[in-house]
Amino acid sequence: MNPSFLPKFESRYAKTIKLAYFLLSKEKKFPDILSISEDNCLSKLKEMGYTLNIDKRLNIELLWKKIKEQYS
Amino acid sequence: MPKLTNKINEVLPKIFFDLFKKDIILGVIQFGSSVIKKNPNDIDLAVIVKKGKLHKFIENTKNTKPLKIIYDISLILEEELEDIDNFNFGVHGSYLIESFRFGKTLIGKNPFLIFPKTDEKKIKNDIFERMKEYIYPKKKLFESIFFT
Repeated sequence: MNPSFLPKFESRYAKTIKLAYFLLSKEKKFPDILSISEDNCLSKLKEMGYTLNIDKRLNIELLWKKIKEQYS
Repeated sequence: MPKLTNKINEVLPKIFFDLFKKDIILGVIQFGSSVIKKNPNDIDLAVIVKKGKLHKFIENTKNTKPLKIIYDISLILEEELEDIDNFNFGVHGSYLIESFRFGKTLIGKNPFLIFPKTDEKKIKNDIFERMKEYIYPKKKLFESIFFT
């Protein structure tokens, strides 16, 4: 795998977490939401009752499942 | 190569100012994370071409030397703003209008400021659609890490 792909992935992961928080919360402000840090969004998601862990793949799977339940 | 900075108007290519003086573009807007972050990964610019001026834009930019900074430039035609309720930009939907509205006007004016705020439900639904595009490559990437 091309290692140069990883920074792009990290950046997109951070954005995915922010957007997931935006979709799952009552947060109304867009694009202000993008200025909140990834860690802050993860903390807020935990406060909302989502059990997150260190594995990014699992976090994405969990959040995406919840988002689909709400928006599909 | 100039350092990537959020003080973008210090390093904005001259070509944009020339196009504005020639009445070819309506404005240039910086939008996305670079408006907020001090050390952004990239710089997104929206260049709005005046109605009926696309051919002049192409004529005036076809021999331009490569830019010293790689900008992610979105070219928007003024005609596309005539039906703002159905505005989309590739896979990007209504939320992009909000990003443009909150962007920083570097040259000319920001035409998105005159439009009413997009309905929150529509923004969330469009972001949901956009996230589908985000999720799939992530799954592929993790497969690459673990199985190659």
